[in-house]
Amino acid sequence: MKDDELIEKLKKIKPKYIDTTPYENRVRQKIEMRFQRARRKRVIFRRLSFVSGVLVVLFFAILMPFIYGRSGEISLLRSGDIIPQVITVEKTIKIIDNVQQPFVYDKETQTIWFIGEINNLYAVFYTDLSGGKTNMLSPAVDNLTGIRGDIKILDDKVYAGIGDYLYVINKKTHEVSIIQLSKEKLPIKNYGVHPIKTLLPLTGDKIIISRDNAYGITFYNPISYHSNNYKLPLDIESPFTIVTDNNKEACFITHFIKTGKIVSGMLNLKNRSVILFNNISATHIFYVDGVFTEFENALFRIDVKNKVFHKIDIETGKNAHYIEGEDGIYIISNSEKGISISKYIPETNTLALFKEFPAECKEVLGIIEKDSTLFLIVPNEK
Amino acid sequence: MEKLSRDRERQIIYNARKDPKQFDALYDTYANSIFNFVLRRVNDTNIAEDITADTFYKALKSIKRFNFRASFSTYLFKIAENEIYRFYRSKKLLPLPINKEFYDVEDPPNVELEGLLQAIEKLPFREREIIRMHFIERKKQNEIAFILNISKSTYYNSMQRALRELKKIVEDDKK
Repeated sequence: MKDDELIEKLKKIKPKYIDTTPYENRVRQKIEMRFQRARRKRVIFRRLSFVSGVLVVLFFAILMPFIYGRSGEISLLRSGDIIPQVITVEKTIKIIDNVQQPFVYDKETQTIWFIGEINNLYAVFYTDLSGGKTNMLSPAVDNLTGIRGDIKILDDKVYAGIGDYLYVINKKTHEVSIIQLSKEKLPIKNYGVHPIKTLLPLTGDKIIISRDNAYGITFYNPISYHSNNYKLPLDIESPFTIVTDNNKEACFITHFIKTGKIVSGMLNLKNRSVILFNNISATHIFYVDGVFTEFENALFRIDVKNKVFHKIDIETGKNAHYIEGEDGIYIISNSEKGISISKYIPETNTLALFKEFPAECKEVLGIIEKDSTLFLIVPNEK
Repeated sequence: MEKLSRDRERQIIYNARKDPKQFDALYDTYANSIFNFVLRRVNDTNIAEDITADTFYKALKSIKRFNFRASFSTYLFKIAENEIYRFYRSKKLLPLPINKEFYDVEDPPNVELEGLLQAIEKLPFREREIIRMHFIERKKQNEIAFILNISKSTYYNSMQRALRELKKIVEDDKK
């Protein structure tokens, strides 16, 4: 068969057109039904969107505070005083005057790490308990303002913050890494410099860093260099002291942005909510087997769970001040006779009175206890 | 229903975009040809009603997007063709046999209608549609390419292949 022949045959077939009149109305109704169905679907979709929108709003309004916590202020009630058992302890006193503040003592290597000044610049130094030679470890930098920074130890690392530099030091190998912190995304008060005021290393390679001239804190990971800036709620500035003994919450002291009133509070590290203790205007805060604060020239223990605080009934002079130790809080009292030192140990609720105080010692910056010796860190008056 | 002039059709489409009731005129004009086009491919008046309804529903829904690149009737045939394809695919059916009741022969003594329709039936989907639309439904090359969403060169190649295969099938059947 030729192509033309096939085409001719094909062309002779023609379609029959059946009369569609009986079907036309039914088709018209079916089209109308399709529009009605689409309209119904649109109404249902609109209602579902509305309901889901309401649910999302409810989720944020009701559930989020439970997930992320509620920030607020509470007034702690004063409860019964704690009366410690008094014991007398004899200790040999040794003076160390080559260490500057801030400092930190590493019990394991028996090394004192501190931030020291050299030619108007600041660097990390270390020394031992003999009070001998001090060694400068890191390069000296400008601390930008009068703020000296902070130094802390956690596990094998010494963390120091000077200016906007973070030093991470391996305490055994003395290997140093220096990180300049960015101020990008930091909730700042005004443009300028933002030196590190205080820092707090947490387990899991995280450091809480509080910087001057800012409203927030930074959660910094020195391994991944990842930082997460967090603006503190309740109109408060970045803390100037922050302490913890666990990874759940940290206590801090700061002040209100508007009034400048000093206030202490607690930051929940998990949900980042803040609770301010609005009737405790503390000057110092410690975390030694519990939260302790110094205000109105006395030492108090804060029981956050029960929203109460207890005064530790210790007789001190008017100018007493408190220093955090490894297992207790040292109370330095000035009297006409000289300085007297005692230590409150929360674990046993004991007040240890130390004998033999050097009359020539006027000011104590810090205390290190080793075996039967008390090392008093005093300012170098030379 | 009378065939609409190009200008009149254009005017109705513009009006239908604002007032869907104006679409009635387009429905009245093309319902018959679309219904028959569908019926020849599905062999069932109920299914043909549904597919015709879907075709006009979709055409009205998307009338704002119609861009006059082809005539409105070609646009409707394209939607109808897609709906037929979708119907077969959703039901997982093979195309139904061609029903000779929907076809006629101009000069009966020279054409074996049934044999030729059976031969067309054996062609693949695209080739079958090209033969059907071109030789039987007398649609133009541009229209067929638009309906099947293929280029003109693809259309030309498919047509050559379809004729070759059809000739072979007819000759094999004769043997």
